[in-house]
Amino acid sequence: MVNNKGGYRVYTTDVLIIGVEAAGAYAAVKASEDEKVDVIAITKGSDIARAGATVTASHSTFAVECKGLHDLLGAPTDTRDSPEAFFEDMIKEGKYLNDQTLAESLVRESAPRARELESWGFEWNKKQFYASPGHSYQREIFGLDTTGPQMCRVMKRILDSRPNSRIIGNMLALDLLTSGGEIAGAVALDLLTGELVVFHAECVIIATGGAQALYPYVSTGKEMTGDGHAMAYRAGAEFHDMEYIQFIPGELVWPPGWMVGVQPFVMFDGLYWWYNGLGDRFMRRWDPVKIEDVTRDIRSIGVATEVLEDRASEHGGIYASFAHLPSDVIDYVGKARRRGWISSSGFDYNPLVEMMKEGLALELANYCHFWMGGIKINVDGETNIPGLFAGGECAGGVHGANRLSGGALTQCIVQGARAGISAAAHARKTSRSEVDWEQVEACREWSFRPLEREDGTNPMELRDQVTEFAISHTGPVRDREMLEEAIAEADRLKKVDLPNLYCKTKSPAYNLEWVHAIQTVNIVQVMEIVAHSALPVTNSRGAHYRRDYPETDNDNWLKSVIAKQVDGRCEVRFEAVKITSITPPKGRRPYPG
Amino acid sequence: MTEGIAKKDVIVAKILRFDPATEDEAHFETYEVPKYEVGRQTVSKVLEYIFENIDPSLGYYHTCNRGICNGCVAMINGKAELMCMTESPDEVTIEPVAHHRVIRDLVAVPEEEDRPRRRVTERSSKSKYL
Repeated sequence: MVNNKGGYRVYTTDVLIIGVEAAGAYAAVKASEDEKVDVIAITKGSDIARAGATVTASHSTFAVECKGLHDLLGAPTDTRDSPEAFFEDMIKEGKYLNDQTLAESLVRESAPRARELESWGFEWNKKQFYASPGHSYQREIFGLDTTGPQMCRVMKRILDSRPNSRIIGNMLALDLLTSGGEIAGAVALDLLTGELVVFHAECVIIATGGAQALYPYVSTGKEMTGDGHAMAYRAGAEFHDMEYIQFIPGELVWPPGWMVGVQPFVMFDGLYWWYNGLGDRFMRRWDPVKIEDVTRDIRSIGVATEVLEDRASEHGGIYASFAHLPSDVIDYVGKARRRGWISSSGFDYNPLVEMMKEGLALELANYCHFWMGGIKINVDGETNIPGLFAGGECAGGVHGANRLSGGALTQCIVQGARAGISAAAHARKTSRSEVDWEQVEACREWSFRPLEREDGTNPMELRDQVTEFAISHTGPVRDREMLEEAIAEADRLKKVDLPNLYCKTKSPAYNLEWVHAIQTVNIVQVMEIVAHSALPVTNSRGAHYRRDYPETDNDNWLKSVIAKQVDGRCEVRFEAVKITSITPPKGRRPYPG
Repeated sequence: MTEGIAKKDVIVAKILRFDPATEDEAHFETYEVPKYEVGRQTVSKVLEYIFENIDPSLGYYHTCNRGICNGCVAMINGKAELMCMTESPDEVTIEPVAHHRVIRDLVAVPEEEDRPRRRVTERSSKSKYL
């Protein structure tokens, strides 16, 4: 239902979903199974799978415990695997910080959800299975043509066919609306017209993914600016272990133009030798035996250390050399490996392979890949705010301190379904809270300010400053000084630069300068939460490496960091890790433990 | 490596600009963008350079940057292509796709509806947008 209230276009619905890809679309499908529940799903992309990380997970895997894969999907897999074995792998890789109730739900529901996707027309590739490091069995599975985008196509078909669900694209969500501590909806910017739009809803599901774009290089699209995190934080939501962010040294910073995330990393993974700007094969300092062939977290920390300590390559990364391989081997391996992984991306990688054959190194830097931390949820996707749900990458806790390969899409599907089902049930038993029009006006005030100002800070320049600052202060390697500086810088940005943002372009429809201004406000907000969460954690674990505390301390630091806004400040408290069946080890040991 | 590749030092990009809120009709504007000495400069990269360094009022669609989301389709030298996957020629004309309502410059939505609610086909192909 659409009408005009208070001068705004108002959409009334039962469930509003922000972000429509793997998690959001799955939530929409599950919520709209109840015919009496109206669902609106909004995205800042022009449609489903036109923004966000799922679409870039085209050649990513979906992790399912093999027993279920075999029994429910009829796939010829290794039946020695079990939900218990998958669970144990997750907890070990998460360095015992996972919320075990969430991890159990992910493991147990992975196969039934995969089966459900299949019943909707999704096609799995049941001939190839993978076991990336950390998985004891081959439980990673691909979609037949693509994985993430195919999921979106399948779910869009269902959503389009249902009278009670609607996808609205080009909607940049700005703020949540609350009333008496309960959710009342959200405010969004209609990018096509530049108008503020109000969604009056009984509950809201946030499924906006990570905040990769806080950092200069991303493996996803650059629109992953933590909008969901920022609006949830402003509304008073709690955050779980926000210091754990996964980086991968896979960004090709030189030669330019192939900055497409994971492909170059995968293509020659394990074959290249890495050198720093001094020509030193620096990964020997981290593992003298495996050298570069260590897990992602150690690689990213090794690379980040070289960059922080001024031993970077010419363009700010490290050199990946193939010169030890004969040129015909490079040629063959390039072709063979590309066949499986890169075939449909359409990029012509031959110039890169030619460079390698000439003996030239490529330069790699860390890109931000995944957020283990996020909005704190329980197993039904509920947050601390009644009526607010979250699922997928924007929700924290399930992966602990590090994520297993293939677990991201599984998280989206399992948690999306959970959030959708519980939001629909919530909508059935409550009534809509009144819209507080002062909140709408307050949202208008901050979001329209860049458009109304006549001079000030350029949004794109500020964004670049923030991302550069964020990678050097809240990147894979941290210490007390950096984190304190990050907190001070976030304060300063919020007081000085953000209120000063201004766009030269004044006409509001699809004004990208304006979009960047709003997104920059959000990434600064996320940086503040990360810095506050990481500062008190004086040990190193998984993706959080403190160079001033390089030990993994299981005696004092097996606890979760919960961050929340209280009176305009980010406050942090600690909570015992939720344990169901695996008791963490004791003792202290040097990182990586 | 570098010498053989650099033919010209700029890319000349002619873009059909139109802001329906302030203008009555579309017009072409021409921009000069420094050309990469090595590497792969796509049309998206050319537009990003113009947006960030010359004219921030430019409207264009850009997300996945790897030819999957199919959001950035535009007419490149008269052919409908994905901007993120097309290496820019030295002289390039970029226009929004035909039969679409222009929101700003290269951002356009299907004319029959304000919001794209396309049926999803099994396989993505560029032609379905036209």
